[in-house]
Amino acid sequence: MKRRDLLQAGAAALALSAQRATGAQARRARVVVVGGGFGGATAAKYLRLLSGQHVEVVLVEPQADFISCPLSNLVLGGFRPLDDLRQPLDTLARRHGVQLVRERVARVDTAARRLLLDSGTALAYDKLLLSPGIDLDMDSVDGLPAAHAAGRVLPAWKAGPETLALRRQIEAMPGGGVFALSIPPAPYRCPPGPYERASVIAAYLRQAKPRAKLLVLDANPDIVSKGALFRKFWAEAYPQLIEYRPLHQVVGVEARPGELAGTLRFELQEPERATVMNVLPAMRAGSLLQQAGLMKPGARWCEVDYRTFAATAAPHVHVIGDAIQPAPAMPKSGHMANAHAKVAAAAIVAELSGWEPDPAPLLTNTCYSFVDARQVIHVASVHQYSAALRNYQPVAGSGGLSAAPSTLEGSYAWNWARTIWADMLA
Amino acid sequence: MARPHWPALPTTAPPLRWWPLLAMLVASATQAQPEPPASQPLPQAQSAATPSAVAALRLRTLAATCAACHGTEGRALPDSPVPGLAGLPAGALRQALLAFKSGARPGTVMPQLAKGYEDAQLAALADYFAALAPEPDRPAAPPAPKEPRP
Repeated sequence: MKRRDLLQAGAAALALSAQRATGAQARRARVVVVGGGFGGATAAKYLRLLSGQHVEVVLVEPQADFISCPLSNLVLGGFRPLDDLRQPLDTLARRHGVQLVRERVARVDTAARRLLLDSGTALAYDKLLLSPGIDLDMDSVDGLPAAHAAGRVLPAWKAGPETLALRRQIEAMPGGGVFALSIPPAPYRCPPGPYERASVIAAYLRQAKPRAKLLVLDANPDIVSKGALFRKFWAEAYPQLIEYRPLHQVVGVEARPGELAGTLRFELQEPERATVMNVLPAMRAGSLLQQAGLMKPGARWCEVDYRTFAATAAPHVHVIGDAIQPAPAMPKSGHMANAHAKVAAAAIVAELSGWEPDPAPLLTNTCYSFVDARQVIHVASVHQYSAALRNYQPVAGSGGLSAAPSTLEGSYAWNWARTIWADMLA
Repeated sequence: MARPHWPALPTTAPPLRWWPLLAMLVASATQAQPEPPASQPLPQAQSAATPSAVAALRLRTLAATCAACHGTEGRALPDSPVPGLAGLPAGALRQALLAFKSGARPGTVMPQLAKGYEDAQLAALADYFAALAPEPDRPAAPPAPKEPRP
């Protein structure tokens, strides 16, 4: 048949006849995606879209609903219910034909190209895309595992029931109480997130508990993201409320039963008492990657070939999102995971088609942060893959920050959230 | 900060839709080519890469960099303060993007992001979005099996 003839026929009929002519015996390629967050859900949808529904996509995620970490600080401030941040995953099945498997992965066998699920079921793949997110390294802070198990110290760095529990601690705090937020060494998930959290909780405390104090104990030498904007706003809006202390690395936490306040111990400084201790421990790639043999010994993050997000340690496996070793100036953000997912999905579709993946993929990122219930600041960046450096570089002259907080950007922030949730799930 | 000025939505849908690209992919798939290896079962795998099909995938992936704020395939959500891009006139969209890039047009995020794209990429994106229908014309996805085969 000639190309011209084909083009003259109906496109839908063509798709079917092409499939019959060439694929009668062949089974469809199957891509298994692990993790239903910003990275994995986006990848599952775009693998279907970019392949014209020709790739079979299985998404393995134990939760029925996605709950957004971005905007979850507003829940801690009491400005939004958690349910506003909840989206069902099954839209991916109904609209896009993604097969959802509500299970945990027990182990990955990259040599045999299959996964074992907790139920004992095996799942074979042609390509595997892992978006496991982060693990919180509870053991990096002495006493944290026990204090966390007892419900006294809650990181709430993955949105969900713990977010609500931390909100209850904040509400129950006495009028003159101290809320301590400790920030781990970068890189960690969501660079501006801790400073947004301090801002939004301060906005609540300013109204509800004006005698309270908010201590920001930062392991880093300075505010990691949007520093000048946060500092200026804190000085204007929360002058007596927020106290920022750089180079404060929390190494221990103690919360005795029956005592209202607990103790934070530091690497260098004297201990500090606080009523609510919101300790964010050091972070690392999700432990599944360790089991799968994709991590270098001692590494916190997974190395990938940035052009395709293929894992460097095993073939036919791609890793995206917060779990990867970040390229220069690349934040661990939901937006960035969404961008990784599209480049990785396109690379997988290209490879399954026998095509060369894009030699020069491009990533964008926009992070909005609330400084109170309604005003927002952003940071934006564009990252171009460089074949020479085999890495992404921020495009010179691009990107930047808000000039000042605004409610206009507040409306954009909400719209960004609704839109990116739809881009990944709807 | 001044509210950015977005191009007005066109009143009629442009004639070109997604189908030509799909037709191109399918047409390329049916040209005589070597036997497909077992691990390459996509329909387009039956063919050597045609420049148009490979370019279409790359352009669609580049266009997806806009989706987190402007919606999948440039289709914004109802009541979005950020405009949809699908079906906008190519010339006006290209002009708007270049004006964001040069700084002639004010905005919050767009002037910063537009500077990260080559002029040719912005022009290609304008043409891409102009060719899409403003309303989704989503073919029904096949229902997912309850249990994936092992």
